[in-house]
Amino acid sequence: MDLRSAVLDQTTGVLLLAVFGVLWVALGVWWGRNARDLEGFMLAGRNVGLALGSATAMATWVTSNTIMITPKFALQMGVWGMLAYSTASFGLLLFAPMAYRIRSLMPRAFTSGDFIRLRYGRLAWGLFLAISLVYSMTWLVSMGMAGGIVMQALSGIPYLHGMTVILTVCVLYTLFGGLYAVIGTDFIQSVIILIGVVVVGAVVLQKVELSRFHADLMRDHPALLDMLMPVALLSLFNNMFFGFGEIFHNNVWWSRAFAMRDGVPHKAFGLSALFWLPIPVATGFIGLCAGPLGINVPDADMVGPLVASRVLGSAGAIVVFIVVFCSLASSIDSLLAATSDLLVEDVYRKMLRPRSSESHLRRASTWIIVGLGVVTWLLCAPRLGDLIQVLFLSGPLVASAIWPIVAGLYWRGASGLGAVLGMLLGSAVGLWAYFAQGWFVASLISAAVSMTAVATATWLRPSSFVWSALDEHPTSAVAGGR
Amino acid sequence: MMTAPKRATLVCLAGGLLLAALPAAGRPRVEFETEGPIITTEGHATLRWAAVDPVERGSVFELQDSTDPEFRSTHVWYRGPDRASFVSGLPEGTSWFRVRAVRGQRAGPWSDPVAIEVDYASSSTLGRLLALGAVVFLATLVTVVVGHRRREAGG
Repeated sequence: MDLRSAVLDQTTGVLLLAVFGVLWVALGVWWGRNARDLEGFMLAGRNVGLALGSATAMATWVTSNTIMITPKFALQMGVWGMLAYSTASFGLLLFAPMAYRIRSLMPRAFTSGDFIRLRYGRLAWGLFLAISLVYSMTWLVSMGMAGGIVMQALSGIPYLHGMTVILTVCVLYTLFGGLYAVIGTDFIQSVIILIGVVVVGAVVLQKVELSRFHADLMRDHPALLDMLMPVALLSLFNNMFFGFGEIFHNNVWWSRAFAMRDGVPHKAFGLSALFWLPIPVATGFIGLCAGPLGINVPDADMVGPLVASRVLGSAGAIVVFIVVFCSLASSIDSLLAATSDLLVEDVYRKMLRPRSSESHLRRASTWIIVGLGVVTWLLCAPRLGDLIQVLFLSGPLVASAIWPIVAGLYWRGASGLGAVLGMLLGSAVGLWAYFAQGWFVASLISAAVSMTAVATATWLRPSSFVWSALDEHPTSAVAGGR
Repeated sequence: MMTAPKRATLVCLAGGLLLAALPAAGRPRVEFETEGPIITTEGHATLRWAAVDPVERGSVFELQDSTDPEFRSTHVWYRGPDRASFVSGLPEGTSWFRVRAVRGQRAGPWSDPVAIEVDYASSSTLGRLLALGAVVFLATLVTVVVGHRRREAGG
């Protein structure tokens, strides 16, 4: 199959994009009525329940990478490849008790930056913000590019048009509805994604004779069945630590922890991990079936949509189109909202305009969301090289933040010095490993170096932190766990 | 006036020149875009090829691989209209690939072969990195679980 010829006709693609785009913006406007103040806009009134909480965590973590990269991982690295990707669910699982701890220590906080600033001081805070913003922008840009590429591959919609529409839709409904709209649309998107993946996976499973499946792989791709394939085994831990780093540090997850009702965060994150876990296994299996189904793969990035459309025809392409749109939107909106929260709270309010009124901050938030959308568009438009490689480059950066966060939540002796050294040394050595050894060890090495730095600093020069210093509004009720 | 032998020579010469000038009809040459060897630590690569001569409608490409540079034993990896193929799951060592255009019973010449050399990480390196990963994972898990239990108990 020549992937340059789209499976869907352009009219169908444009129609799908228009229907979902208009619907999502309308939902954003409708849900936005609830966002009456800044806390409503940024944190959905801190009143999100278990169902919506679980759905938004699951949907946000299903990115276009889950749908597109996992099949590629499976095709590149076999069974371990798809299992390696699914280890990203461990991050959600481990964040469940951490969310409980975060809520107990900082019930009225807004961002992950608040924690780092109060726990470790301004130097660590600045470094943390730099890491977080770099990572958030690379994620945003990778999602934007993926949207344009997939729309073009599936339906022939020109890259620039597809990318622009997806970004515009996400910016608009995030602008109108804030976190209410983000979480509400995430719920719908999570249902669509689950149904879509199950349908495509089930049909592919029916078409493949499992007895031939193993024989074909053994004959043509023997290393894919090798349980000791080095790069696959290493990517298991690497992906896990990349996932830990993304979830533990990023405000996307902290804002959800702050947005949920008391007693909900740890349950919601636990449930979302369980719902998310089978998705990369299913999408990875689809990629692994390309060979046994006799499907040539000219471009490994497109193996998922290729197999789905071959097996299901136009119907499969429509399902993939919708699932990819939902996975992109669910991640882009979360990133826009969480990154603008970080910039409004940590940079604008805390650094530049500490006396800003709530309405002023709400306006700033609006402009920042629009600005993020514009910057993302400008970076996506030239369609620079391999954005997946750039995204993986941020792996060592975020992995270096794992131990400053974990130790900061549970070890009274963890100090700002350890946090700064952990992030600096972890990032530097991790980036070196990325280029010297390969992408599949960079996050692992970064996490190990960071852990060593944090633990050593805690041992040699422990701090004696007072946990109550994390609650900037001490008149509020605090749950147990101090 | 031209003699018969001279006329025959001229006809043969003209015919030869005409044949040389024609594209290799039904036997176009195909070449890989990469000369190789392609060295990979991950066991995969994307092979792309292009027709040096115009390819007739209905032609397909046949991609073969072998563990032998002389292609004494071969396996057809792909046969179809695509001009690229992602090859993965290759065993450690060197695999050779070649491609040609085929139309019906007529096949063009094979391309120059390209070698893909797969060099996975050594067992000792793998072992050390896996051990490191296990240590960091367990340390993270224990810190969170123990910390959570202690705080729940009010410690």
